[in-house]
Formats: sequence, C-alpha cells, structure tokens
Amino acid sequence: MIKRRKKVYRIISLLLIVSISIFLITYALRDNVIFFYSPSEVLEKVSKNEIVEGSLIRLGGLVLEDSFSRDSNRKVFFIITDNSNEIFVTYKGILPDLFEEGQGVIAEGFLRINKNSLKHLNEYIPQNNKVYFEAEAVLAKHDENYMPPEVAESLEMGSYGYD
Amino acid sequence: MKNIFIIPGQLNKISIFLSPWFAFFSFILLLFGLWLSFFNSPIDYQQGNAVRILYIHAPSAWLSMLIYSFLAINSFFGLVYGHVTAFCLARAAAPIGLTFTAICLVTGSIWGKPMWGTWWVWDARLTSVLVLFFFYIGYIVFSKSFTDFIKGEKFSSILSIIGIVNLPIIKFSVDYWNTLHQPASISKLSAPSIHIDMLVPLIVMFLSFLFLFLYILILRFQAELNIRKININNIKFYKES
Repeated sequence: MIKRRKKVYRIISLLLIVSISIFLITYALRDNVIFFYSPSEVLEKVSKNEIVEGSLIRLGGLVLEDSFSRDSNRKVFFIITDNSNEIFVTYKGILPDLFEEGQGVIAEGFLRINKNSLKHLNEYIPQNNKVYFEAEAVLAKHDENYMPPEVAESLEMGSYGYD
Repeated sequence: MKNIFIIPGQLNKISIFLSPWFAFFSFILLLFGLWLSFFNSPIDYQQGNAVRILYIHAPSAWLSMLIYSFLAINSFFGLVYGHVTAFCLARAAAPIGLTFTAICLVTGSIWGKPMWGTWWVWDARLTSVLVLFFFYIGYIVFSKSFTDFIKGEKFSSILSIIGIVNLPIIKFSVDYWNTLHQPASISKLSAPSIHIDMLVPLIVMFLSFLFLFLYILILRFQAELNIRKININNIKFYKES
C-alpha cells in the first residue's frame, strides 16, 4: 500500500516538474510562441527599437473598412487595424478567398520606415505613417462563428437596428 | 462491478458481447451524419461549402485528445496498480489515436489552404497538435522497442503520462496566444457560436467516430490480450529451456 502511494507521489512530482519546465520554456519564448503582433504591439516595439527597419515579422488584425485599393501593377494596399492603431500594408500576390474588408488578416513581411508620403499609393493614409509594412504573404483569419448566410444577414440587420 | 474492468477474462467477455453493437451504432450514425453534413446542412456565411470539412476535422481533433487522455489514464492505472487490462487498453488505443490525429492534421491542412491561404503554419495550436502526434508515435515505438515487454510497458506509460501536459496546451493555445487558428466554438462559457443546423451534424459525426473508436478499441484489446498471453508463454518457454 505504501509502495503504491509512493508510485503515485512519484508520478505527480514528475508531472509537476514537467509542467513547470514547459511553463518556463513557453514563458521565456512568449514572444516567439505568439504567431503575430497587433499594430499596437508593433508600434510599441518600434518605439523601443525592438523591431527595426527590415525585421521579418507577422502583423495581424482587421482590414480597415474602405481602406482597400489596387493599383495598375496588381499591387494591393490596405490598412491593418486593431481598433486603436493602424498600419499601412502593401502586397503583391494572390489574396486568400476569405480576404475582405472588416475581416481578420495576418500579413507576413518586412517593416519599412516611411521616407516619403504614402499619399500617392492610397487615398486613405493612417494617422501614424512613420512606418509601413511590406507583406510577402497574406493569410486570412476567420472567427469561431459558423452560421448560414441568411442568419448572418439577419444578425447584421439586427445589429444596425433596421429590418 | 469493479472487477469487470480488472479481470482480463471478464472484460474480454463483455467486449465480445458489445463489439457488434458499437459497430452497428457507428455505421448507422456515420451514414446519418454524412447525409446530414453533405446534403442537409447549410453553407457558411464566410466559408461557403468548405465548412463541411469541419464535420470530419473537429470530431477527429476532439477524439485525438480524448483518446490521449484515455491512454494516459490507463497508463497511470497500469503503472500504479499493475492492472493487465489497463496496459492492454492503453496499447490498443494508441494507434487509433494516432490515426485520428493524422486525420485531424491532414483535413486541417486541406481546409487551411483555401481558407487561410496556407497548408501549414507554425502557430501554437497547429504545433501543439503536431507534438501530440509525435507523443503517440513515441508511445507506440517505445512500447515495442524492448525485448522485455514489461519494461516497454512501464517506460511507454511514463512517456504517455508526461505527454498529458500537452493537452491543456492544445486546449488553451488559441486563448493564451495569438494564433491563426480561431478560438473554440463549442466549449465557450457563453452560448456556442455555431448555428444549430451545423451543430447537429457535428455532434452526430462525433458520436459516430466515438463508437468507431470503441469498436476498434475492443477488437484491438482482444488482440493485445492474446499477444500478451503469447509473450508470457514465450518467456516461460525460454526460462524452462
């Protein structure tokens, strides 16, 4: 009986040690475990010089409404926002199906310091235009809600307060 | 009642009785679930028809975690109490869990390409499920790589108990860290954010997969018991000669 209890204690202590070490590892690597930075985090890290020009990062957030545009060279421009900060993104390539204004998106690429105005690229320029983001790849992020289109439509109508 | 799960002969008898029932339920529910998910469920407002992969992806993902906890709990009882049935159930469950994890990874990848725009990313959820996959492989390889099978059982059980640390990481990875994978839809504290017409086929498919798991588990359990008998006879034979 005592032997059995000893075994249980041994297993529990093993589990404790393993989970503490896993916790410490993930805590130490917490900047690498997260998949993307939000615009606010990027701007904060830029001001602390943790992210400099040309760092390869992933930037995630929502595509700002009415910010999407396309130029004659098939280059696209849009703004990623987390509802408090905004970063301007340029990208050339194929966008995923779910890409849409107001939809979650993750862009992988390089941070660039903006030297001249972005005004020539897009009519809508975010307030903070010291930096912009040159995306190499764009991934769409969808939310955890699943519903038929009719339900989504009626929900949307409800939230705007008209029938 | 308690002895049923401990005495190998008893559990074997029950499993022979139960196996056709599990197979029957699994088959009926699979037919019903496939009909529901292909012909009688609405398309998603964002993903369109691609949402139907959910009905295979999510149940196999749940089962991969469920089977791992089953495996680890059985390993625990095997280690502490030395029950033969616990070891046999754990060994029987491992390849099934491995298969469900593989199904989860492959269907997730197929789903990810059209929706996210990539087959694979190293975000926390995907990586931790891959680690689960490796734990299954490690358990199976470890349990078979000792000439003394009792030693193999012991060490692989310890490995599987260590691996249980990974399960909460998988579960909460989408909440604690920024990931590409979306947060949980069903097990939220608020109402599940999945429409009822989509929830029903999901649950039916999950039950079908669950019965399939139980059916294969029972078959494999009987085989594992026999393998163990052979192993013990071999050991006796070599000791005598």
